[in-house]
Amino acid sequence: MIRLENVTKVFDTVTAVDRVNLEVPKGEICVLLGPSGCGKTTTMRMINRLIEPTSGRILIDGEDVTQGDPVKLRRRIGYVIQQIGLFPNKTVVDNICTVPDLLGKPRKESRARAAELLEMVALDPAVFLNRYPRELSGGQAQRIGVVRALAADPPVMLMDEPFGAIDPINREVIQDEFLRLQRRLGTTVVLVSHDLDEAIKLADRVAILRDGRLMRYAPPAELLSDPGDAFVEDFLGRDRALKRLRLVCAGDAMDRNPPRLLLSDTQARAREIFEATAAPALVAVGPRGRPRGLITRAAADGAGTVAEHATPVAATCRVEDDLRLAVAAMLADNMPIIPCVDAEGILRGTLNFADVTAALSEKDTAP
Amino acid sequence: MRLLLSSFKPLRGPAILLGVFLAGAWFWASGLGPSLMSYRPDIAYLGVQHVILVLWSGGLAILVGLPAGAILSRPRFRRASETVLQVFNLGTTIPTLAVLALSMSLLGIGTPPAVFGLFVATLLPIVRNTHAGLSAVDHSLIDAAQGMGMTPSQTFFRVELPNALFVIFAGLRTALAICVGTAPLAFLIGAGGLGELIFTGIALYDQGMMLAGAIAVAALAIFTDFLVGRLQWALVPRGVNPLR
Repeated sequence: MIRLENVTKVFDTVTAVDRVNLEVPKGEICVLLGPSGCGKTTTMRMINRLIEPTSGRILIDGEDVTQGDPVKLRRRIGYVIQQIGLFPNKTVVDNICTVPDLLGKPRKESRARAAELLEMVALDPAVFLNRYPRELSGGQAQRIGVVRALAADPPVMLMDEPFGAIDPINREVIQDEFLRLQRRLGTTVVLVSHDLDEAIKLADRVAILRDGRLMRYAPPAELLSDPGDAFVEDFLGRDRALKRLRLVCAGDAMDRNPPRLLLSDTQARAREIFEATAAPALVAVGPRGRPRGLITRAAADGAGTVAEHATPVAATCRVEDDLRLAVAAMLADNMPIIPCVDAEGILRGTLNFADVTAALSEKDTAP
Repeated sequence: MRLLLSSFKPLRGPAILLGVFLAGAWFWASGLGPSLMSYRPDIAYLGVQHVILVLWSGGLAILVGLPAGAILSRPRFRRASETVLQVFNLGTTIPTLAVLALSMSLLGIGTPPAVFGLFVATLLPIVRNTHAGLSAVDHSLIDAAQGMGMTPSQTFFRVELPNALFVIFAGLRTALAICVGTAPLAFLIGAGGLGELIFTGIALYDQGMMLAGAIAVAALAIFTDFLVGRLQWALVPRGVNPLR
């Protein structure tokens, strides 16, 4: 757990950080977010005392870090920067083992751990351990930067725009990898970012700073549903409602018990269901429960079977996908309703726009 | 040129051999060869003197230049370093001969003033490259090193120095080449060395004697450069060594 109590930093005449109070529970990710010059990097760098606070206390697991030896403190805290800062004169394995070596840990152990960590970020140790940084791509280098910070199993990790210099496609992948790694190791993370999407994706709590002051400290869902003041609202942008789609997964928003309609049922059966529900369209399933067709209210007339009038299923979404992906698919294929399926492709529920709206307004009322 | 040579590739080996043979034949027939050979004891004796001059002045220059460059590259001296390097620059604009003359008027004649003069001439490239190499180390490396808990001296020896080493070695190569090549002037203030053969050869218009000195100095310079080059190849870590 990290706690900042009334932390202030004054550079000459400029107050960079002004009485910030912040508490990051163990195992959570706190993203410091704000426009440049808002004091977020300064705040982060005070935690490992690369910058000494002018006043206030910083506690890690109840221990005041502003006392004692900063060098010892830093060896207990993982550190990742945007420029990565891998040492070009050392091999990947020696880079990863920097902190274990500083701590004088047995070489064999730290080397084995390095290989283990590399595998966790999907890099083959046999290929990468003995490379030099100049022989790595940007994405590989950034993964190794993260791994290096974790090599001595620090309880706390500080990250300064760690994924800022990577292309968008790689960034998503590395962020997912990082999240998995962080959940597995239970590391408490303070991450500096100016990217709202990154904050929403990674953060358990977001701290929004402005001119050195903490404007808002809340979980992303709460932040987006209730920004609190004009600055935060402005910073989040007018499309913030769309960003909330990311925070809900399709499985939580979908209708779990949609009316069961088989492709082989008659049109009369479809009309019967439409009379009992407000749904704009229905998903018809095949014999094994896989979605096979969509039928709209308007198409459910006349005689015959559903199969003759249904349109094929253009897209489905997985139960664990977030709403952003589900809605994007619905918009792209002009579907009023989208089937939500599990890994086997069996229909688990359906999602229409009314369900999406309902899910978001539910989040609104949540604390 | 390269293209020209490569198009005659199959003939290149024999052509070079023939050239060397003809040059050797002329060299010997003209009487230069035997006359050079007669200077062998002198070359050996004066060569040792020459090497000792170089070792003293070059060694001192390295001992002073490396720490000086390192200190000037510290953030604390960043502002002062510009001024100091300008002074060093001024030092190189003074001809070495003048420096030797000045040091002779202060220290008399013999080896010490010669060593001092050569030391001054050798110092600048070492200081300048050490300073440039260390200053050019990416700041993010230093930030990462500090952030991970390296002490200032660990940061210097494990991160800054290895990453600046290639540039520093380039400075050493230049400096020692200058040192070996300038050392013949030391003869003028009574410190001996291979300059004795060259200057005496010029004074007596003795081509053999002159060439004996000149060729020995050239060989020594090439050998020194080769030696430092090998050191550079071996000592600069592979990850930051463009040669490997």
